[in-house]
Amino acid sequence: MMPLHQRSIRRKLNLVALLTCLTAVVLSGAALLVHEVLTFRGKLVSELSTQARILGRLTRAALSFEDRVEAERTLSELNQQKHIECAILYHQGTVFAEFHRSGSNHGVDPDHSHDPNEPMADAEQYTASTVTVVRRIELDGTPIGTVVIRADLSDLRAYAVRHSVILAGVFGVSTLVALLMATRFHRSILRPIQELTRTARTIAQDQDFTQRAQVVSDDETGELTQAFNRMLDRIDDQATALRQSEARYRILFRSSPLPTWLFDAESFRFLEVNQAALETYRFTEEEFLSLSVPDVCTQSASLLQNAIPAPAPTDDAFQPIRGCLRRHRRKDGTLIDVEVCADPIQYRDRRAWLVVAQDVTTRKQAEADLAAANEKLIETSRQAGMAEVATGVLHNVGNVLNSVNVSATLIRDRLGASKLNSLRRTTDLLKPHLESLGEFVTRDPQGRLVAPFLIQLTDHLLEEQNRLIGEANSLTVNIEHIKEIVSMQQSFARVSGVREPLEPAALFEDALRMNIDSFEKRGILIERRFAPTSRVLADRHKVLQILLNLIGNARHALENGAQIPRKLTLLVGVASPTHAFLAVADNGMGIAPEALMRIFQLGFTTKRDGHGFGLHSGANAAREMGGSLGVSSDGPGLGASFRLELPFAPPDATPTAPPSSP
Amino acid sequence: MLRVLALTWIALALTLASLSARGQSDPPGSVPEYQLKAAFLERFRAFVHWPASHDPAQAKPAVLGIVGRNPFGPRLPLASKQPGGDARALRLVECTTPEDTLHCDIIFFCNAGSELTSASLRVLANHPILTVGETAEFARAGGMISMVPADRRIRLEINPTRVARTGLRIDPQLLQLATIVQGKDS
Repeated sequence: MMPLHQRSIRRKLNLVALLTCLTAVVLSGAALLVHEVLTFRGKLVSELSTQARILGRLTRAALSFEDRVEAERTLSELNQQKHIECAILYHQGTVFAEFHRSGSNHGVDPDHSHDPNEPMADAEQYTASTVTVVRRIELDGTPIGTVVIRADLSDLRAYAVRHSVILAGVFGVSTLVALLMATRFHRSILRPIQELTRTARTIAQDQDFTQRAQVVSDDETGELTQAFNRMLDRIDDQATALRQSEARYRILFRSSPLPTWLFDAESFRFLEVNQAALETYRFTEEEFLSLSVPDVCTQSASLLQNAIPAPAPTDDAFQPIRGCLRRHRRKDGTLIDVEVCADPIQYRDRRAWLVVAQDVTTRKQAEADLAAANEKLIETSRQAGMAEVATGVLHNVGNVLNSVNVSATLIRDRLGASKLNSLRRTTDLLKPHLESLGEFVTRDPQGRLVAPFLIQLTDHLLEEQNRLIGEANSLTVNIEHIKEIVSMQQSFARVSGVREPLEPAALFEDALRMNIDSFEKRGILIERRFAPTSRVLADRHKVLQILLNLIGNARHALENGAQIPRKLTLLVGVASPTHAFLAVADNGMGIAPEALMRIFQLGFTTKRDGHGFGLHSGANAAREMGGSLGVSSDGPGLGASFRLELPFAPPDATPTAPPSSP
Repeated sequence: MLRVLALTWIALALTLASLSARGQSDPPGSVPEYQLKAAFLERFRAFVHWPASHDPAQAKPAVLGIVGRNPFGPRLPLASKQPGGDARALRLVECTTPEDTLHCDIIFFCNAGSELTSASLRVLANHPILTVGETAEFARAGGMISMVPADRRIRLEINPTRVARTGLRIDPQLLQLATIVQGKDS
């Protein structure tokens, strides 16, 4: 039997109409039959019950006065009722009188479950072919016996059979009428659908999207036909657009500068290739399309095994591949490095991979050259860094050595101008008079001058000694500073010392003290404008190094400037709620605007003997301490001002070492 | 005194002997005659309709008068066990004079002497009092219903003329069971 979904709509509609009609007929007929049977049976039971009551009433006297003959005579009247098989009167639990229709072989089983002295209760009992009614017989409200009547259900069966025959007749007629009506009405429904089907079949066979279905009705099928035609219009438009788009993409594919090819996901045969790929692999198009992927892939772990699952990949397995480096073979056998990007696509009803294999042989060579150059550059940079360290050390040591030289010159000059020669001449004067030294110093006119002279000389020598001790101390301090510079620069200016709360003004005084003589010699006026500020948290030696550098630069600018008098101004103040500033301003040669932009760059200097390191390292050191170093100048000849900002020390700050560098 | 005791013992012995003889006369499994008659006497009330002014149902218990020898004792035997019977519904009185019968609803003439029976029937001639006897001649001789033993059952004879004269009405079902007889006077 053909499945329903394979049948035509006409048959389906006929079947639906038929089933609907028949279902309605069968259900209503069955319901009616059940209702009639139940009603019939109810009437039968009611009739039997009435007859039982009448019998009970008619046999009360016979039961009361135990007249069996009269009772049986009364029961025998039931012979007129053809459907009654038997009737029995029970009295005190025993059969008192009974009636059996001749030919009936059915007896009535008394109910043994109750007391035989008590009359049975009213009841109805049904079997497949009989119904039995039990009724009590009462006399003045007191039960005196029971009457049992049993009737067969042959009339009911006959009624049901008759009813079923009628139902079958209605069933048949309904089927016929339903089929006739369905055929009549289905024609109007089916015609538009058949027209649609014919049009769709023609389009499917001929691929002719200009075909249109004829609208033959104004109902839903008419709307469906119109929608179908509109859909065909859109399909036609989209097919045209798709053809144009495909042509455009084919041009793009062909003319793409990226080597691109397409291969079958199952057979790995090449399906399409563009001109760039042909030029890269140096095949003709016919040659390339006769090959498969293994012909150009050289590695055993090729694109095939690595990226494409086989033999039946699922959708999940088709993941795009990006930036996969492979080595491919050209027609002439030379190898090229390619970077492969692949995307799974659907190409003419088959799974395929669109592969862009860009030749990166030149790029890889360039990368190797670049890596070598980079390595060389790193080595050069390392050497440059070492030179920078050395330059920094020499620069800072040179600054301090100026002070050391000054101190050493002073000591030498003072020692050269020492009064020790006067003491020697005095001792030479005293040597001839050693025998009579007392007389000489008391009586001789020259001798009387010796004692006051010695006293004066002693005071002078003591004063000179103090000055030399001071200079020696300064020399010691400077040498210690050189030691610190060397130690600090050994860690390439990244290792900081201990940060501690420092007085900004004291820092200026320390730095100035190392250069004070050079300023005095050059007639440079020094002005101090120290506003009261809190202490700053900084590395003492780094700050001193910065300030020494700034003061030295200022001295150089003042020496080369034209302003008279030459003036160096040192300022201390509050820059912000968190920072203090220490400024070194001069009215020297000034700084050109273009130089201001580069003044903190490594190697930039305006001095003939400069290295371009001091300000660079000073700015770095200031940043490391959480501060900054800035500059301002109104231009050449108008002086300049350098401003060092440092963070305030917390109230409870204690000297702390910075975290060690990695 | 000794004579009285001796007579009492003799009477008791005769009574027991009589009862024993009566019991032996009934076939085994069947209901004794007077027990059946007692049940019938009770059931007559359901099939006899008294005039409204004399309906014993209005004043229970109805009074059953015994004229002659009382075979039942103070109460109807087994009456309460019979279907439709209610021993308390009948109160037994023994009537020794014809006038005693006027206070009854049903009167059972049991082996009464013909003189007392005749006198009583005359007194009751126009009173709606059901008279029941146990001889075949009773209904013909002025009684209403006779309970005549026949073929191990009780056969009823009814004199409807006599009944109708007193205003009583016999249920047709009862009449259907009974043999209709006519009185000698009719």
